[in-house]
Amino acid sequence: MALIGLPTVFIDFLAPEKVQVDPKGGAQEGGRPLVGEPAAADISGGGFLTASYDGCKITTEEQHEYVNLLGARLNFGFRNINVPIPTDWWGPFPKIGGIRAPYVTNIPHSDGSTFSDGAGYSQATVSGEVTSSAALRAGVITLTTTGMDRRLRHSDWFSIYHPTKGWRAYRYWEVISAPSGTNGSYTLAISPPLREAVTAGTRVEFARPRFVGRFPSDFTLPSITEAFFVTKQDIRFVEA
Amino acid sequence: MDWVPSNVVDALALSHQLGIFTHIATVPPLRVWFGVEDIPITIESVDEGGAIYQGGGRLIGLPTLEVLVNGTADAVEFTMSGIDPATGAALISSIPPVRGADVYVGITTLDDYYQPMSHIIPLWRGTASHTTEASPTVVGQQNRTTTLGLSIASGGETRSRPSRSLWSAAQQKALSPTDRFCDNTSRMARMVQPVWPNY
Repeated sequence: MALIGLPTVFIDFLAPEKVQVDPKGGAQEGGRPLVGEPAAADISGGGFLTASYDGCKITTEEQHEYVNLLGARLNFGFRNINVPIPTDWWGPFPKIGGIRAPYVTNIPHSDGSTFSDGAGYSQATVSGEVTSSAALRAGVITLTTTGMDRRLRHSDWFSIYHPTKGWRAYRYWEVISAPSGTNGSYTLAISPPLREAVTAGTRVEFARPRFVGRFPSDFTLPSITEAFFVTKQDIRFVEA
Repeated sequence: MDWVPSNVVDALALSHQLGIFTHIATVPPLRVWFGVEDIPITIESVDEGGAIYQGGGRLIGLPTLEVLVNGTADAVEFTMSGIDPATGAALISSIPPVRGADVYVGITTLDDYYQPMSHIIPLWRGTASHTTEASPTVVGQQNRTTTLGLSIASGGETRSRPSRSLWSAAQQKALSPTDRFCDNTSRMARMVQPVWPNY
């Protein structure tokens, strides 16, 4: 099914209590050895991402409608949707009003006016760009960043919009080289490896990283109507 | 150079990432590996340059490989489950001619940056024999699954070779129409002492 041009789950609107994002893979064991701890042999080559939005609080009419839409679209796991990873609070974003802000909102027109309903433009605060092309399944990419509030140091999620594979989320597990300042040219070892080759100039998105997801085959999202119209639902996704 | 390069052997001695690859020489060839997502890699002198192995780790079952590598079975079955019955039927009917195609199974290890440490090392070569399909009945809330299989034989053990149960003239002539080797077997039975024919 289609991997590009997909809608994105409105995670803010669903207000999950807890979001878990975890790559799953397959490790083979050769049985219990004498010392009790077998060697690990990963055969998945990086694994695939899974996410779960736990305890989405469904109260309003529109939220009920939206959950019904998600179930209608995604049940049985053959249609896809972009699944955002909420890193707003700890990503490398500048602080606006004391809170890390992945986006700047309410940007007015050049003459200072806003749209008729009072809204302005919005824009990501951090931007990144791949500086040299990397092959399919490359484990190391180089990128240059602007607008970050801190260095890329331990690990952060980011995503790349591939022409055929759509949005894919990655994180780095090793900073191979870093610029002297906060922003500049980084060389990062990423996990999982690239799902599709990238060319120089491809945008690297740090604001709300997302990946193409679908429901796991053993999961369906029921449409629940509870007395007093307050219910909580868990939604699970796997990388498509 | 060793069949398995020493750096791969060293990696296999510790905790490692293993890549298992299958090449079925249909036209066009089917290249699948047991990991997730695609990987560009080749078997030397089997794959052309730029070949990409597709990630089939979510579809294909692994358990038969142990049998295969240890060589205790002369035919193994690769299975693929998790598809619904309608898709399975469509797959079976649209499958390219597979009988007699060469099948290679090989391994290599991946380094810390997910890059293969060598070309695919082909460990086993077989001949595709026939496809199978099974969809067991399920009860209650269980998910129904269809399993497609491809039986692969090593050496000359293809299922298409007929075996003779009787050494009769009719069976022998079905294989070799002009051969009269078994013409007189009807005269042979227990407690009968045939006269050696004098042609």
